[in-house]
Amino acid sequence: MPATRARRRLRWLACRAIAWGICLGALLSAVGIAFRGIEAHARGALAEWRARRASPDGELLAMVRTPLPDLPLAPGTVVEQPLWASHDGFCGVRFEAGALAGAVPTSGEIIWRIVATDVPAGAKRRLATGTLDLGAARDTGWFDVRFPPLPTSAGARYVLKLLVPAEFAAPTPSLALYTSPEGRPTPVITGPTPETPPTTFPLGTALHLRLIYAAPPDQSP
Amino acid sequence: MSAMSPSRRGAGATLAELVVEHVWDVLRGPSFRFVAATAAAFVVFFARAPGPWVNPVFFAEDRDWTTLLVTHGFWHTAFHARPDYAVLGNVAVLWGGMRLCDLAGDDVLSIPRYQALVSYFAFALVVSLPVLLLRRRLRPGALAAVWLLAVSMPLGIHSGSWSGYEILGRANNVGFAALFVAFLLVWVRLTTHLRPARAAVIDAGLATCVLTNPIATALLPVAAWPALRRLAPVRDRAGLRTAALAIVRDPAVWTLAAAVLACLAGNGIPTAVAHGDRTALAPPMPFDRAIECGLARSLFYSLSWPVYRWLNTDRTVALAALALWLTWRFGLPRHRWLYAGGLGLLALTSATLVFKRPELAAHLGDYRTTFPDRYFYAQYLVGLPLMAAFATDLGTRLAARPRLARLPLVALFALAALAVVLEPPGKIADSQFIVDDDGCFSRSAARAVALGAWRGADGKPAADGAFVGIPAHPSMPKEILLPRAAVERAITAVGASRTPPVLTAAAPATSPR
Repeated sequence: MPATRARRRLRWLACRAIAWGICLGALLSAVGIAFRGIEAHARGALAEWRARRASPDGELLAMVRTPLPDLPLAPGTVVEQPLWASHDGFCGVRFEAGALAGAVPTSGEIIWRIVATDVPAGAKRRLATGTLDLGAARDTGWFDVRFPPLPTSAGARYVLKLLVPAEFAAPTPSLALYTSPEGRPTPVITGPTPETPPTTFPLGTALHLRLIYAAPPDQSP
Repeated sequence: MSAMSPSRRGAGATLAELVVEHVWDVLRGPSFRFVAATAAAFVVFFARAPGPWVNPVFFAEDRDWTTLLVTHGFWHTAFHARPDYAVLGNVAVLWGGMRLCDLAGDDVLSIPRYQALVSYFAFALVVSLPVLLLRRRLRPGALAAVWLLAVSMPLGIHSGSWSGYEILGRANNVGFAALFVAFLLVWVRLTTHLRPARAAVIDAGLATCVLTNPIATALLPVAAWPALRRLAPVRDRAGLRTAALAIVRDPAVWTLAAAVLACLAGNGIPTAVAHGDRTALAPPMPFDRAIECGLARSLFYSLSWPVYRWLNTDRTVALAALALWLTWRFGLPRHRWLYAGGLGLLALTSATLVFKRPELAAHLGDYRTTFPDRYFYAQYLVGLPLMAAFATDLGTRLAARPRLARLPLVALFALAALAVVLEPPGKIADSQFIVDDDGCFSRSAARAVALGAWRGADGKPAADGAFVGIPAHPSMPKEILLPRAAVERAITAVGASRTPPVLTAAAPATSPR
């Protein structure tokens, strides 16, 4: 009889829906438990990786791969390297010297500046400046620029400017260059004369840079 | 729905007993097997590459296409994100992530995490499709081997390259999988009695694949074979008229025609377009790199990956020739069309990479590295059901010796076990953290709002812009555009300061010039 058949059909559908609900519920629960377990394990691995990576050398700005010929700093040249701070307390830049670092005279100095680029019109752009003794790289192979920490530097864009005085004596210093994955900020070179057109590098060329941040101040009362 | 068995489901059974029987029915059914396979694959892929979830970053095209989704909507992004072809599948993953983020009630800055979830699900669905679509074409053991090999597919996750970071959990490289899905759909279409509804679903799937990966266009004429072969026995005009009428009256022909029209409307007439300056300026691929790219990495990667580092040009050619001879010699005649079609598709893909992407030669490491794995994982997946079919054929040929007959399938499972050993899912590779967010995106968003970095839909600064431009990450300078109101709400919710940043610093001790 049609009514009995319809009732049986409804009961079949209801039982099938309940069965699917039970099976899917069990499956989703298992997936959820596994997901949370893997997530906890992954967060632990991330914390461990950050601890391993944290070093007095600072945060690596550009992953580097194969070495390229050094970048010579002829007298009168200006190197502008875009930087992007990821944390507050940005207080220094360390960059790798080229092969000539051991040969430069200890009296050689170049000027460095940290300039902010994403500021409103009229705001101060030059944040810090100083001189760099090139002979200091002889032992470590790295040049080191330090300045007082910038308290709200997280997400901010800067440029590191290196100015080689026109009267600088030979031999000229150099910076190490590497290939790097595309999209990393590449340096721009101007000079040695005002008429010389600026040199930009192909995508994937990078100085070997580390950005250094000051530890956050102790905020306990 | 399965037929009811009166002896089991009689009037006297209680509701609980009935439900228990139905539960067993569901568990044994192909639909639940597919759902369970997808769920398991989702967990495995998340375990292999959890980086995009625990350390979310708007990465590469995911950033650019999310910007387009926010500013121009779904359909514009799907058909105009790239100038040369549509990327419907990729954009669907990104859009799905954005909707999931909404549903979860999370803020707009968390979008990349949910896009990662949808990506894991998409990959899981793709590798589990053979469980559903090939269940009447391959034996259960062979299907299980295909699934295991697919979830453990070598992706270079532990190689220290970007491969571990840029495939699983991302949307920009999901599109390559459309080639594998199209291959499965065509296989089913050619071996099934096509009822109108089933043909419509398969052809809609094919159109989606072509509108995601243009190489799948090559499969559309193959999909038309069941109709075209009606013309084969035609000898005279009357026969031609009869065959033509039969073709025109076949609903499956109309659904395929609709799919082809959709592909033409979406992608246009296929033309060879240089993939940007890198392709246009790159020299032709050297012969050795062409063999590595075309044969070892593309055509035979599902066979060559265990011995990849041992290969060179001569060995690759020898291995390829041996594999071809073995397939033709020992594969059963009923599968020869499958081998020819699958290898033909792989050869077409290989040729496309060798001749149209010569800049890849700079990345190939002379068999020392498998980077860039993203261009080759789809070919690996296509090779798997071919290997499973071949293993089944060998088993059939050795039917008289049952112990030997099981060996080909055992070899497939051993291969899967080796893949798990080489890229263990439980071990988290450093490649997951190549780009470390560490809260940077939130801070950048707060700064962008504080500085008033408003943008119009075109990305240019606009005082009354409805979007805000936020750098995705310090190491990736391009901005992503997100809705201004949503970002402001998110920043307020996390309590980030909105006061303008301090832009000056005291001069250091050394005297400036």
